[in-house]
Amino acid sequence: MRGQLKKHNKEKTATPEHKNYFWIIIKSILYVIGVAVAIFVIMVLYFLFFSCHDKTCFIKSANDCSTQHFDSKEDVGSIEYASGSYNSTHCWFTKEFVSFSSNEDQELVNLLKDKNMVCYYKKGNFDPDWVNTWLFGLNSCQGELKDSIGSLVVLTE
Amino acid sequence: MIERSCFKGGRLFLLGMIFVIFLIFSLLIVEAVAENWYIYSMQQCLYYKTPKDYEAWSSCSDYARQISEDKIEKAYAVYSSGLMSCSDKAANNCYFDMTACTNKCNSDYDCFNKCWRSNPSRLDRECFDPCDKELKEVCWKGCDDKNKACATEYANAYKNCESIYEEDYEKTKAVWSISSEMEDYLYNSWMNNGNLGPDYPLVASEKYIKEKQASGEIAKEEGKPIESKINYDELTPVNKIYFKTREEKYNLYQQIQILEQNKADPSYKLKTQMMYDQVKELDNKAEIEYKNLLKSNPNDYWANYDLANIKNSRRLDKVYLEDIKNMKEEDAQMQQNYFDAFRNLDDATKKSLLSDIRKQNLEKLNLKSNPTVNSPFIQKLNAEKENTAQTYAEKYKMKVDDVKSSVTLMFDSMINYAKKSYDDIEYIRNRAGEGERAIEKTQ
Repeated sequence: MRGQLKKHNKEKTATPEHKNYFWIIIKSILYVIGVAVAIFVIMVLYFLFFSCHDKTCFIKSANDCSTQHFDSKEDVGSIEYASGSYNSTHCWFTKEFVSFSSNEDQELVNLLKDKNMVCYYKKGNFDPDWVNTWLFGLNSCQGELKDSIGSLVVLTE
Repeated sequence: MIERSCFKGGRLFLLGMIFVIFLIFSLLIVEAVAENWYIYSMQQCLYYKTPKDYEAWSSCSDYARQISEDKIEKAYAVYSSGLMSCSDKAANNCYFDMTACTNKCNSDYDCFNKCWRSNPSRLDRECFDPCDKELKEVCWKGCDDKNKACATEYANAYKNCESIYEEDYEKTKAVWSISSEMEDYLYNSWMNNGNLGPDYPLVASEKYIKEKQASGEIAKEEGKPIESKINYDELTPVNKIYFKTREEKYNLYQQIQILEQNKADPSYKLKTQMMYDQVKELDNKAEIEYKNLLKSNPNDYWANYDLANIKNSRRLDKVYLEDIKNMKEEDAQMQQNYFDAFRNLDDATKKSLLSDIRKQNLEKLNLKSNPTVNSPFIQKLNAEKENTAQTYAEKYKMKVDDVKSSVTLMFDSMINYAKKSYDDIEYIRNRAGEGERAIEKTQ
């Protein structure tokens, strides 16, 4: 009984129809991989040629209200800056810690991680202080990161 | 043999499926019954409008409130997450802060919610809810003024959301309206009769109302102007301006509260706008009076402090749409006011004011002690603070330490002003002595 079943299965898998199915599946997988690779390559090219790699580029881009992301490696850690527009004249900017310096106090890391702030501005009026400093320009922003920084400034001598 | 065991497995699978389907239907039925039971039980509470058994009535009312709050929270979560998918485009055009949050968080709802809640603008938050029929008109009008296409998109988004979430929303509204009807009855009964009803003694109603007032569930003497206990003639000129403005503002806000209870009134928007304009006018009037005071005494601490706070509160109103350049000019003026305010305090007052502010912020951040100077981030903040102090010390001809203390005070005000109640501001005022003396005189 078991032998007959085995033979039957063997015959079944060996038919040309099943060979076709096999190749269709293989081809589909290859197509999916191909598309994924293409998307990956386009993204890499986009980030290489169209995204900012320094603060000057980001400030210029944000001033034009362009959608832009920039990870800045600084003494205090890695900071993510992002900008964009919500209509033709008004823009937004966000700032957030991505990672902290290895020497950073754990209590402060817990306090600042996952917090961000959003600042609003008119096209052409981006405030470079938002990127270059921690204290200046905070009045035009809102968010938990701003509140925490404000309180920390109060605590510093 | 094989066929038999296959058949056995299939039958088991079929039975399992039937059981699972039965379980799902049972849960749905139980949930539906429970939903309606909440509403029914609350209606029962409402029928006993003259509560003979105060404790039972009170717990029934509390239960209704708790249920309605739970449901509102749940419905809020449902249609907020739905909103992200169905009206992103419309929101992009109308409400920039939502766009910022959406772009930042993509489809991470927790992140979005956190980001969104950090925005203090109440009107914007309410307008985000496309299923709120009462606010729809206001929001559409807001869109329409800015952009006709946006209004159309918002309308379409509303239609989609409405069809998806209408059922949940209507149930929530029903629960909420019953709960608020009960509160209204309680409040009106107290206002008209001085007690909860003909069968209920006055002392218990007062106790209940006081508890509700203490927990913030009922506004203190809603809609009634406060009776002034302050003898203005006894106050110093600066405190006279401050307390008078505060009292008049409070009375206007009370009237706004009454107007907000009747949003269906076609003139509601106009009337509340007029009230808010009057509040702004009070600030303008106070500003002129403070400036006049400063002409004779440029170093008056409280005149400078209050003036800075008026400017600060205006900035909070304007912060979304104003030009950054104009803001920077206002910031500079504001900074000067804070520096002037701090400059002439005696050393003991400066020390105690700073110590109090630091203590409050330490508690707020939930830190055990002041952050260590070894932290790279604190070092960075210290360096920036030091640079600022050096620059401003020259500009305002002050000691560097005094400028640093002023900067501390300024940041505390900037971060906490929007959240501070009048009582907190009064507390700081009292710490510096003058307010305390003024209040003593009036008692």
